[in-house]
Amino acid sequence: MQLSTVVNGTRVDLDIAPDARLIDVLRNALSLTGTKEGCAEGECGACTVLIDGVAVNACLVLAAQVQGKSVMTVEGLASAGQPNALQRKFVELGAIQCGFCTPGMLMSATALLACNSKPSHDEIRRALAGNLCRCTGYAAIIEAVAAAADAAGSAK
Amino acid sequence: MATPFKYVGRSYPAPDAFRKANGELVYGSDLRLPGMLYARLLLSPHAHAAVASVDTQKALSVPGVVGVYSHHNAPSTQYCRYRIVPGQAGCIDDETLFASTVRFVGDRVAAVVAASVEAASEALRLIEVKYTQLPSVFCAEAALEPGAALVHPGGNLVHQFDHATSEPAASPAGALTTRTAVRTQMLHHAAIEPHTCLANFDAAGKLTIFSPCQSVYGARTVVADLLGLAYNRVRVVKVPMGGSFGGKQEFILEPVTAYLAMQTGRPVSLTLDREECIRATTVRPEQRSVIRSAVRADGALLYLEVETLLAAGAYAGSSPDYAEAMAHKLTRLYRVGRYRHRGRVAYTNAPVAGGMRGWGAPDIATCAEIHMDQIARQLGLDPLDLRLRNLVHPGDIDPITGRSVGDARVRQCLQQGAEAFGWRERAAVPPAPGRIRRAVGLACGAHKNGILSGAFPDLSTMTLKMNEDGSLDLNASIHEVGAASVVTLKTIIAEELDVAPEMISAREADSETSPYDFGCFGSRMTYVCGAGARALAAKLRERLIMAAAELLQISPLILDAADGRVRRLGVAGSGLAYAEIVQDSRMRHARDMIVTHTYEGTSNPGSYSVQFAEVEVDVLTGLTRVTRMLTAVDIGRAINRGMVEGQCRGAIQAGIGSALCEEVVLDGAGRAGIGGFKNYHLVNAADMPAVTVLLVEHDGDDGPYGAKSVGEIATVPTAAAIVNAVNRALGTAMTTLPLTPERIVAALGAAAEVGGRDASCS
Amino acid sequence: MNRPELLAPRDLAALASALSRATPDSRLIAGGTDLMPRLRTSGVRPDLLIDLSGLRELAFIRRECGLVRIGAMTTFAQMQRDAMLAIDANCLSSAAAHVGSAQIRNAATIGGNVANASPCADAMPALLVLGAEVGVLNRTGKVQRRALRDLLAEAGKTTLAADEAIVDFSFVPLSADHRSAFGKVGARSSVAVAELNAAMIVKLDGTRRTITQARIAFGSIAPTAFVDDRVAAALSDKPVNDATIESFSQACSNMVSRSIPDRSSLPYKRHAIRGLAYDLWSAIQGAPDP
Repeated sequence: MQLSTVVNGTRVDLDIAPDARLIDVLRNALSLTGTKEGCAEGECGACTVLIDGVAVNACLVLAAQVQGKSVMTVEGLASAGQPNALQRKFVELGAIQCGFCTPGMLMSATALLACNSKPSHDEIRRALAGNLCRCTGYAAIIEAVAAAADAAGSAK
Repeated sequence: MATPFKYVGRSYPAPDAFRKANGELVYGSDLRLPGMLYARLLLSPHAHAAVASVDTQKALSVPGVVGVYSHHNAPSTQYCRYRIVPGQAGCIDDETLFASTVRFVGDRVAAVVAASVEAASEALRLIEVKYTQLPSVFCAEAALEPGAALVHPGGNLVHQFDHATSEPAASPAGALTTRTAVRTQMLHHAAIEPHTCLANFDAAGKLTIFSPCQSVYGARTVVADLLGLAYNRVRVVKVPMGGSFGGKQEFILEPVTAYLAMQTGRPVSLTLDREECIRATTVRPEQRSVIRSAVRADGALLYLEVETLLAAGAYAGSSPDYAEAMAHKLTRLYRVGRYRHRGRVAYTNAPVAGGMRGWGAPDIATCAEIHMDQIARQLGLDPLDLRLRNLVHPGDIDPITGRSVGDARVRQCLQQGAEAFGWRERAAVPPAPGRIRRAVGLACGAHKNGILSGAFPDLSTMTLKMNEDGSLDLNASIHEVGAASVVTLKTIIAEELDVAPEMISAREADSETSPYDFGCFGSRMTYVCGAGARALAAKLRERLIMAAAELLQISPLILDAADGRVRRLGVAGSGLAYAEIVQDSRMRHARDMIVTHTYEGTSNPGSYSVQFAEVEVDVLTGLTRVTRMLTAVDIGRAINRGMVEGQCRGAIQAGIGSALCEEVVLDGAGRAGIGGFKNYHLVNAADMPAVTVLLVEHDGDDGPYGAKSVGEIATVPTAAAIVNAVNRALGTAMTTLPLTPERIVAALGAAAEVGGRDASCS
Repeated sequence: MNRPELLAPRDLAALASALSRATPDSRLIAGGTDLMPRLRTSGVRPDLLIDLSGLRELAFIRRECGLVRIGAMTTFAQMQRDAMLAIDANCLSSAAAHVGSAQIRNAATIGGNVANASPCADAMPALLVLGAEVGVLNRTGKVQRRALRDLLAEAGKTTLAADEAIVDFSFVPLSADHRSAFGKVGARSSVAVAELNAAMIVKLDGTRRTITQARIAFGSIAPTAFVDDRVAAALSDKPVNDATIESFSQACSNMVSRSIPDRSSLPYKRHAIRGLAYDLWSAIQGAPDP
């Protein structure tokens, strides 16, 4: 079937299988391998992407369902090759070790900050409860999201 | 962030952090090569069966399928997935590429190679296998009973040992004897990146393997020997890894992926899904230990005797060494009059056991620390005081190995940690009655620094060259497992040469181009490879000084290297910049600023951690919340402070899971990992407690700038601290991990029956 | 390799038409959170996939004709955020907040949760206790109203025919004097499948010191969620005090013993449900007064 969608701001037209998963279309058809597959059942959150700004697990999304919608992956966060504030805080505050959970964490955090510009630590923890990390113990990730929120706040 | 050094002791981001943050970094399963094919494995649904026939006809007719392989068309040579070096002692060659007799649910029966994962999956469903079921045995104890079903024809006892110190057992009158039996469970490493491997066999007969492994040379040994290739025709490249925690230490996918690449002559990519990762890679072994001790009235340990029974699963792998490792931990931690450790390792028709972060240290520490708390309870001693009575002092000799424990600062960890945690005050408060019971617990642990032992040297070869602009290239077999080893080595070299770390480039291991190193395991990265990097940089420094002396026509004795220059002592602005030395020395004197060094470790001191946990247990639902944790780690010196702390926190996430909710459960038919992460629960961000990290930096050993290992020691006492806290909260004596809600409710029921704490709400 | 045909209706007429093509091998897909993993692993090969995500008209929460009506394609995130639902049906709003993670709640729908009929489905006890009616569309385009309990027969399967689809749920909103709550016990405190879950509605008298009526439904015990009148009787016409709550928790425990006498999880569940009972009561006390 013909899929017509917008990915990271760019219109994309693809011929896909009707039962294709969004994660496979992103990683294979579009070579956007930043979205990672950790469990294929929506438990680890490594495949989190935004569809019309809403965070979902791409491994659970039928690709056909993004027809006419707008998808954002981790590759869409930086602009002109420059990391955004959230990415910079992740790097600066030690929120990245092996990095495999990082894209999913960034996308969940992006969705959170878009609708809650001053989240408490508890709110951040709950928003990221569906993103598993085995390296960092989460603390640096929570700090990085909070710091990015602060930076955005003071920049206004 | 106080550090007496210019670079060492600061916090640096992980290597490639920006590339990780923008999705650019290519991990194993992100790799795409032209003409690449995809493989999937057919895994046994039975715990023990003969593979009577494998009919691949229908599978081969699926469009896109290139080949289907099983024991019928693959070599049946046996190998050991744990082997690093040829002729390595303790390696049992009992595994084949595909099984003709399957020995656990998850054993490899066949592989499909196809143009897409989907085609391979479709074909997998169409392979028709006839099995003749055989009797199976799932637990180590049953496996060693006479008449037990045989996992391998040679018998189920894989390995046994009996180590004892020379002192005879002493048990004077007034000594208290205690016995504790503890069981630690099978665990899944749960790296978020599933296991993956890519192999390519080109027309010139050269095999290249891209793997997130922990030893490129080890992978080469196993694959080259198995497939009959010369070592220089097998190139293993370490690709970025999304975590390992020991799960990617053994060579699980490399042999079969390499074989499939050779058969098809095309690049073959194999990635497991989560269920396959849980059941068909490695698990931390299930083990049971019985500890017996005698202590004096003041709590001093007179003897400690341990009997361990460990389930290896269907293949021996690293289990013999793993069990041995368990026997070499407690005498680094406590002064005991006599120590005896007997161990037996048994085959079972269960997932294959392998190394997991801590490599037996968490397992045995869990047993010992539950035991110590039991002693404390019986003597009416504060658990802290019992530890203080027995913990080693710096310079003590470990009677099992005869080696010094080195600058062991575990007592400091205990005392500083206890003060920061408020142990005395908190421990003095008995758990208030009611639905939620609160208590604190503590535990100590010891681990090591490197693999130096009687059997194995610990060495690493590295090369460092300086470019004409003063920048540097480090060529070493570095295996990043996520702890930023590359950054550690760069920081050490930066400090030694007094150049900014950004001036140094380093890549990960490639068996074709980077010199020999055993790999990233055994807590040897910082202590041995780091020391090697320092020695290497010192050698280059020396060479720069000698070259400068020659260029300047003065004695090297009045020269010094600092701040990117070699200058005359006491004369500011004199001398030559490193860059000038490189160029001039090459052009005028034909000298090259490149050094190679093989460093050999000569010591293996202890690393230590003491951890404190505060828990709340709901006596109705059985749910336990860890509300606070403090970890004190004797780390010698933090090279990359932020990363050291990060490792400590991640280690606690894993330790909480192992104490409370993580377990690879076998059902009645021997199946494990059903439902993947749905049923195997990791601690998530919402459940993670506040953690305080206290680093004790006394830098008294031979590590670079005094550094010791952290990645493994940080997870050694975590589970025990939590179990001790829960047992204190409930007045129970639980010794089977994990302490799931079901086990806690059952223990409360049992306690109520014997007149223990009231399990009701009032 | 046989690919399923995909139909993506954009309105109810098109959905009815798609349903007329459905066979027992066909599958409806809403948020995909239950179906997608199953498509990959269980070898389920549908002949037809009916993608409901284009039915925007089925994502709503409204009051009409004195009823609360929720479209089948409403996600749990939308339900969690809805201010009106938090007052009109706090137990359902709370259940929505307890489903999975943020990512799951953003995709999973109430229709999908009910149609999937897991014994542990979090929306089920709340809908039962609210006496929800289900609007079922069939191939003729007509919407029939059925009681939710008539859809529940066995674990993992509703009584819906292959050519039927849930389009909405409706129930009478809770009025003043009523309080409702949802409770769940999982293997960990968040993002867990329920070991036990329940929803409860109580009516209090004017002084708020007596419970005049109670209604409670339990999930994760039997193959389908169910309303239990005997447990509710432990609260009806009882004073609001510790003794009442203690006997309520005991009644819950007895219910578990009655329901699953041979299950291996019995010792745990009959004990842990007492914790759930206390949690429900705490939640009731903190619940909004409509």
